[in-house]
Amino acid sequence: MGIVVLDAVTKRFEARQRAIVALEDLSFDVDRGEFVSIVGPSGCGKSTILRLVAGLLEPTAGTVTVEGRTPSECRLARRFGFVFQQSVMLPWRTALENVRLPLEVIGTDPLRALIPPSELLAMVGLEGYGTLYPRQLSGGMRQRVAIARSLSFDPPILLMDEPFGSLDALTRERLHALVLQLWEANKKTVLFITHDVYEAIFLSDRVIVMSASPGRVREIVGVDLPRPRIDATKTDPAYIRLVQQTLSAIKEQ
Amino acid sequence: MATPVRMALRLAIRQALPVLALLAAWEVAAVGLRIPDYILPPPHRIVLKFGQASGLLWAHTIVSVIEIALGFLAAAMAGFLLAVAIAYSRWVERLVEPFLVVSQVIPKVALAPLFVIWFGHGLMPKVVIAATIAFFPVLVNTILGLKAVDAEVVELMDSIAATKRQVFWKVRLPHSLPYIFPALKVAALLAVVGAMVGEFVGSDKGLGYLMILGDVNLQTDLLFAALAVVTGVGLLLYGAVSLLHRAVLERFGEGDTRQFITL
Repeated sequence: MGIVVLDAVTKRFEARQRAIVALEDLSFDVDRGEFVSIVGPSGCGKSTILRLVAGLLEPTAGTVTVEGRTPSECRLARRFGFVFQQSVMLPWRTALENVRLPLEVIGTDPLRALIPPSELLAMVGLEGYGTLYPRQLSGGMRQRVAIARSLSFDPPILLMDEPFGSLDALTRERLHALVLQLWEANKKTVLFITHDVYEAIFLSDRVIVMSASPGRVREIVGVDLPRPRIDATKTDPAYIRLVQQTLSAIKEQ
Repeated sequence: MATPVRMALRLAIRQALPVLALLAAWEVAAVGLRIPDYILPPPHRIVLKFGQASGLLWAHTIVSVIEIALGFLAAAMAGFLLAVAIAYSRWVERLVEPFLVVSQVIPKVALAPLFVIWFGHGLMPKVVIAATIAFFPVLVNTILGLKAVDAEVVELMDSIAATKRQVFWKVRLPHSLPYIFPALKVAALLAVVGAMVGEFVGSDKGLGYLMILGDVNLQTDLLFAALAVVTGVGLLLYGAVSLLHRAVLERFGEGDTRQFITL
């Protein structure tokens, strides 16, 4: 039984007179500690899936279950760390204060946090940057802060919504390595949204390929590449074959 | 080194020069063209008037300053609190919305006589008029600032089960500050206008009253002297709010809001 289970989920948005079907009859599971990516063309409802899992949206039909509970119960129990495409920093807070935000909201003394915020910043490679404001940091650095923030209260499930979509290729590669390293060290369950097939195959245990309007599961690609994944993985024929397979699954529609 | 003080000084000098040139031209014209004093006294007469009537000016300045300050504070507080209520309650929003539009269209200056009937000739009607005129920009901008928070920031807060109160104090309020302060600058100027209107309509104290007095007695130099003091008071209040605005932008501004006009 998966830790995140979507069972025949449909999501419709009512806009003016016409209803838009964002997701239709969507079912898949994510196991504990698994790294699962969702890829698909824009408008296939990828982001909607994360919001359903996090309990920020309710499905129109079907059920979403997380750790055997409803998504809202899990959200109230602070089981989710969320990372967005934009870093979503509070500009009047320093990097360290942004990392600390969830602890303040939850009411955890930062000194008693499992990993102190300053140490988290060091873990994401930003030692010594804690007193800088977001506008003084590059896009990649801000996204590192966002990742540190999502880990600050040690949630077991990370929901990442195209977190590297607006970064340049080099920065993106560095953050891939960081995310894999943090994931392997902390045994999190990751649900990762992207439109980049290469990124999805490189990072994931499984890749869910979506079709667009309405969003449905088109194919689930198991990625049995050895870990740890390193630069050499990208020249591995098996990797290239998986990428081709996934790309053609997307293009078929 | 371009210290802030030196930069402010340079700015002051740059802005003072054209004013001084205008005053000089005025002096030359008034004296050279022999314009009667009751129509346009030369600036030096007005300056002299400051000396002659300093006690009188001072006493009336205090009255006006209190009216302006109280009117401004009342406008700022009422505008802010109503904005919070509107931003947080659809109920309040629906209830208040039609009145807001109407109250914007009504020339509030025309209400001044009514306020005199209701609140007498003392401090109260002036404060009420000043506040009524100055309140609207604060209200509108505060609503804008509270509501213009990125949807993703709210989602982030929701994803960690933040309470409404936490979202307000940690996100919405700091985010709205760069929106509120430009409105406060406008409100400062409008409060001055409101206080003067209140004094014009019915008063025996204050700089507005002094202007009326100068007018009916053909003491145009007194009128100008009072006008100069009012202008000074307005500039000081505006300058003080501007300084706060800069500090707020420095800390809370980002993107668009950092480009708000910083006169």
